[in-house]
Amino acid sequence: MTKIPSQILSAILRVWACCVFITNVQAAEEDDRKLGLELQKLAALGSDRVLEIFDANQTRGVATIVSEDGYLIGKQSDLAQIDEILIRLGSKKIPPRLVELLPSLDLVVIKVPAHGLDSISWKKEEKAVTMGDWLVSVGSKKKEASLGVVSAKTREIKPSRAALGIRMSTPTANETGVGILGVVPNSPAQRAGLAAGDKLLSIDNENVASPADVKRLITASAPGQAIVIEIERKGRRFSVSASLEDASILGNPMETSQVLNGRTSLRRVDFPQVIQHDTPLSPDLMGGALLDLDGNFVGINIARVNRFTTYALPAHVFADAVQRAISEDRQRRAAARGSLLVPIGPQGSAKNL
Amino acid sequence: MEAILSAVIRSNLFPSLLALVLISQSLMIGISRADLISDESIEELKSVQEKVKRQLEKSMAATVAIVSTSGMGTGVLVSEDGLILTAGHVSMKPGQQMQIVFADGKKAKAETLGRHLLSDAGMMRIVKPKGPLPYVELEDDASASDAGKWCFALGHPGGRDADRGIVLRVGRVLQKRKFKIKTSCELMGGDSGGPLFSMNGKVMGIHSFIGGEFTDNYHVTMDPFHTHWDAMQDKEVVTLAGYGKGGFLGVRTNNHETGVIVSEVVEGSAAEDAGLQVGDIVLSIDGTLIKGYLGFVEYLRQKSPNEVIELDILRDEEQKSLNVTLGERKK
Repeated sequence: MTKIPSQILSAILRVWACCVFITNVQAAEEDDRKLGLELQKLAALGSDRVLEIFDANQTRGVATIVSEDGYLIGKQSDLAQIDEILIRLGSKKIPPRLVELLPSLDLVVIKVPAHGLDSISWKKEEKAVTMGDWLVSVGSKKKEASLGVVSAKTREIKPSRAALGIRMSTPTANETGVGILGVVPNSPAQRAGLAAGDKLLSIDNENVASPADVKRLITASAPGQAIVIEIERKGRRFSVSASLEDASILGNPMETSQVLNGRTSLRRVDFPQVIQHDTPLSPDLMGGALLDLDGNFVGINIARVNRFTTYALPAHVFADAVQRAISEDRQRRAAARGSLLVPIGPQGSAKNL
Repeated sequence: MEAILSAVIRSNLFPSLLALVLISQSLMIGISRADLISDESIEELKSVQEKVKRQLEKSMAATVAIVSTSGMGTGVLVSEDGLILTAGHVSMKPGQQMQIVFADGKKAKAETLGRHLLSDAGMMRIVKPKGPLPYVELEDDASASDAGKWCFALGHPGGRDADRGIVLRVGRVLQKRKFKIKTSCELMGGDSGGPLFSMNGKVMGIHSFIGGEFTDNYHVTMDPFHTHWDAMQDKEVVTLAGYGKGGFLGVRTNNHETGVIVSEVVEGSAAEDAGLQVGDIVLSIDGTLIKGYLGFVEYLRQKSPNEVIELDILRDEEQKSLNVTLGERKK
């Protein structure tokens, strides 16, 4: 029964995460729709089912409790940004154990040693929410919650191409690197300080010799991912970091404006199905539970997209995968202990032994 | 001022939009965070949910995407023969052709009509519609848009996306002015010209511009549409100087915290005849308190030459009442 140190957990997550990105940005404080007294009770009910995630002293996010014995789910690409993950449990801060990565859902299942936690309850027959239904996004220990409605069709969000925002010249023979002809205003390239006349030498330490090389390396990355670009300017060489952007909003001043959109999630695309809602939420609350007005578990907030959009994964999309991961983990743990007493998981794991 | 007010939510208008944010904040008092803390009950929320869902099908059918050469916007059908209300900065110049896309993806051609520059109201009409079109009514109950009332917004934020469809937002009215409603329905470029609905499912606003806070969402009221309905249908561009009956006072004024302050009196004007002086603070006209320069001008525009108005003014900290017989505006 080896305990994986949380630094390693973070490293594993980082390898798997689709978007690795370093963010250090301050946005205008979101004006969440705060709730009245009656709703606060509902929110408190939800907050009890959510644990805070810490990085040293700072609150960095939330994870939702999916079993009374300490299995939690969180947003994988966000947790991958945290150097040392700690979960607040009562007065203690505990490093969690990695159980399973679900990269196609951008979810991670983790475990803290606990019993008798207040878990969300999986609904057997889920009634799909539709446009206009109120949703309550639970916060953290502050017992705050925010309110919004289902605002568009529930649908798949396809992966998007990453873009840097440069125009390149075709290099002549014997020339090293790729010349930059122009930079798209408001693009990652411009924000990283690239300019026309610069010569691109390498991306993430891989030398580039043609525009095709550059395109290949960029399209192999995900929007939100940070790349290190080595350039030559006036005979001097230096490196800059640029965070790639979703090609569909490249250079669009309103869609990329942090003033208008506030802080957004790094991974905002590539989900099998999302509920779109209009709740203004901090991206730090992704991984938190989403309830309906009767307190039923609807899903998990998974991406803060822009000023008017938050995405949530409906519970039915991840219920089986998460429950299977938990069940298999319980079996593995029981086998490792050599014990005959196996907790019976929701999938009836005992009979497999 | 006209240029500022007609600039707005459009993807390629970011610099003017920022300017507008600054202006809008100086003109309107921001709402504090505390005002947003509501104490609605779950029962109330369920009733709002039920009302919105009941209106959704009809209101979405009347909401159209507008594609022009300069960008994408939204509009709302208000008659079965194809009259569309939108934002003035979407319809722009009268007599242009634009493409309309209905909620179900069907397309039609429309021609732009007139606009009202001061408020950002605009109109267009579908050319030769095939049969009766889905439409919604205008809200005739002014109290439906009072601060605190629930409302919902529809539109195509970020431009039309067939997979996503029309986007709904539910919120509350935060402030109401003559030409502007501020709500908590978060808007984005592409929403411009889209409808804001009352809980009765009737149009009470047209999306116009946004600011940096998530609560800075502004919509044109129905007032300028009602006032200039015929002129706009006749493809008129209604400017500040170009409407009204022509009653002329003859002063230049600036905003003052209790009304407007006179900065210049035109020689030989009605204002001079009545004894108005530079530095006078005009508090009210005909007993109506003046809310800034725009309200003052708007009131005067409705008056005819030879009509008598009563001004309450403050001069040297003394309140006075003046009767002024309006003159004629020189063309």
